[in-house]
Amino acid sequence: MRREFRTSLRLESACEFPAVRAATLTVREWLAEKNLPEADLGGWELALVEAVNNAVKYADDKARQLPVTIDVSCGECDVEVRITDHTAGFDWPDEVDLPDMDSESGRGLFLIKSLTDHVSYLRHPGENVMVLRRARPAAASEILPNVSHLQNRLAEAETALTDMTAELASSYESLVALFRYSSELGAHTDLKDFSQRLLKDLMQIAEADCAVLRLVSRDGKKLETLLLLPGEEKNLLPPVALTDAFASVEVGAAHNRQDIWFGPEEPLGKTDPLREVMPVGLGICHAFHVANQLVGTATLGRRLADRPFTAAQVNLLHTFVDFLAIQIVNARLLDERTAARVTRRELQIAADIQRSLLPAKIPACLPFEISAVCQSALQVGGDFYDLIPASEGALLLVIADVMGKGVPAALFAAVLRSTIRSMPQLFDQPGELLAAANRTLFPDLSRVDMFVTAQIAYLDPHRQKIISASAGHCPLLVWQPGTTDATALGESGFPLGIEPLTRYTQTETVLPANAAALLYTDGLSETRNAAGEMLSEKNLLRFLAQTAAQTGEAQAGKNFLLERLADYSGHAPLADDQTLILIRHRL
Amino acid sequence: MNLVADSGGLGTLITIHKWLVARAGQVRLHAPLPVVRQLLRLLHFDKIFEITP
Repeated sequence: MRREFRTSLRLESACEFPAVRAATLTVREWLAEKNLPEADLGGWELALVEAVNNAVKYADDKARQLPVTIDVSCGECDVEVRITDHTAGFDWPDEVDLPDMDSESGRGLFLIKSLTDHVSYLRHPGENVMVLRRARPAAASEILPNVSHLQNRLAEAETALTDMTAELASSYESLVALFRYSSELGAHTDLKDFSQRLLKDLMQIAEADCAVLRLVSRDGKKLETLLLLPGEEKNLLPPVALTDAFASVEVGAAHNRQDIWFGPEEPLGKTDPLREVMPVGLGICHAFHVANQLVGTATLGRRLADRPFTAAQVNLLHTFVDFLAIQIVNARLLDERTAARVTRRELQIAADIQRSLLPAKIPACLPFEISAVCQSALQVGGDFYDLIPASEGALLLVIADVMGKGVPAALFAAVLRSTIRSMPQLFDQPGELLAAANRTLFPDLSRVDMFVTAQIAYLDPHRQKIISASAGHCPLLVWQPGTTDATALGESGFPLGIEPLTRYTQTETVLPANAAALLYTDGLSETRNAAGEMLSEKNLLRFLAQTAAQTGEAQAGKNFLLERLADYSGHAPLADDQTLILIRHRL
Repeated sequence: MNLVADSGGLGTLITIHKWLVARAGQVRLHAPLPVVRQLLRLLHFDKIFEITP
């Protein structure tokens, strides 16, 4: 509804003819200020004179003491005058006609009626009101200066309303888009595809002609192009190093954590990579962060420079890109989590393989007693041991450490185990056995740059001796009864997988009654104490002597040895696998 | 000068007109203001008075 703005004037006139004249002139001047045309001013003056004259004419002595009130109200479309008197009043005739031509009076009401559009006469006891109204001919805007002012304000308000509506519409679009994207959050969507759709929507809503999305590389040293819209000419935009803040607006925005505008007054630098792909009038570059870490930059451009991005559109850029940043970080976390899960699963598989390689029970080899253990550290290593019954009650002892961890190491351990088991004819010649195993395994091991260290010992219960050979492995430790120290025996050849044709020297040692021998992996000798010092072979020899002196059964000896190792490390979790085979000659 | 004619003044004009006609005279109105001329026409006075431009 349109409100009308009216101004009004009230004046009181004494109830006498000279005062009427002054009052009508005052009203005339007031109406003149309201830009009423001259013809209208004359008309109103005459109509007022006639109307107020009437009031004076019908006044008795008492009524003459009371004033005649004139209320003038001037609007955009009409002027209304109310004349209130306190006379006895008169009867308004049914027809207001001109009197006879030569009549000297009776023309007042006719004039009033002729000069106005509307006349009404309200007669009450002690008070009468005559209402006169007449339309204004002039254009409304010219009549009242403050009306035109108000109209300007109205026009401004309407413009603001239009802008707000447009902004609301774009906000609505962006909200709808964001809701749509939210539904994808958490789902493992293709990051590039997701970003492309988001960037296209952003360009449309923010009325941009082109856009570039860059992400920080994994090493955090440069910005790499993920998207260049329109088109997919990614090769045109090489990565940009994050070191030089002046090389490109993108790096500048990332360094300053501030949006950078470019346009006719602030053109892109000559070396800026964006020059090639964004031949634009103007643009804005925004760097986005998550948890204070730079994730990437987004740049929007417009072909024409005449229309900068509005505050609302810049807000939109921020909102969309921050949203994208969260999605990017989510995707990366998801990848890392998946990788960690794969690794955990892989380690589980490796541990299963490793366990399955170990002998279910220890074969008898009297008068020798055997006790063995393979204690896995948190990360599964490539340690394994095997106890293979040989002919004539003999036993082949195998202990090995495959370089590396996880499934590949476990697989090679399995292959080594099968290879050795497939050559029982060589069991009593451990040196030949290692050489043959090396020939078999060398092609596979060298192809993946892996190697295996192994110690093989043939335990002959009849001759009470042990024949051993080492492929880069820890030496066989032997404690002879009647001595205080244990000794390390034998020479070591290359680990398996280093040289295709290599020989292994084998050592033959008698193990008399009560003697003890130990095959182990470096997890034992490299056990560290709280100060970080390694146990060393020398101390392990001492431990073996103590074990032999203080225990009888192999099982008890093994437990004693493990306790000494745990004491040394301060009962810290194992840093490496600990695998050992303890041999005790029991009478 | 703000010259205005109200019904009273016009009535006086009629009185004068009648007085002059009785004495073989006449009222002639010279160059009235447009507002007054409009008014005279409105009241059909232009039919009884001679109005000169």
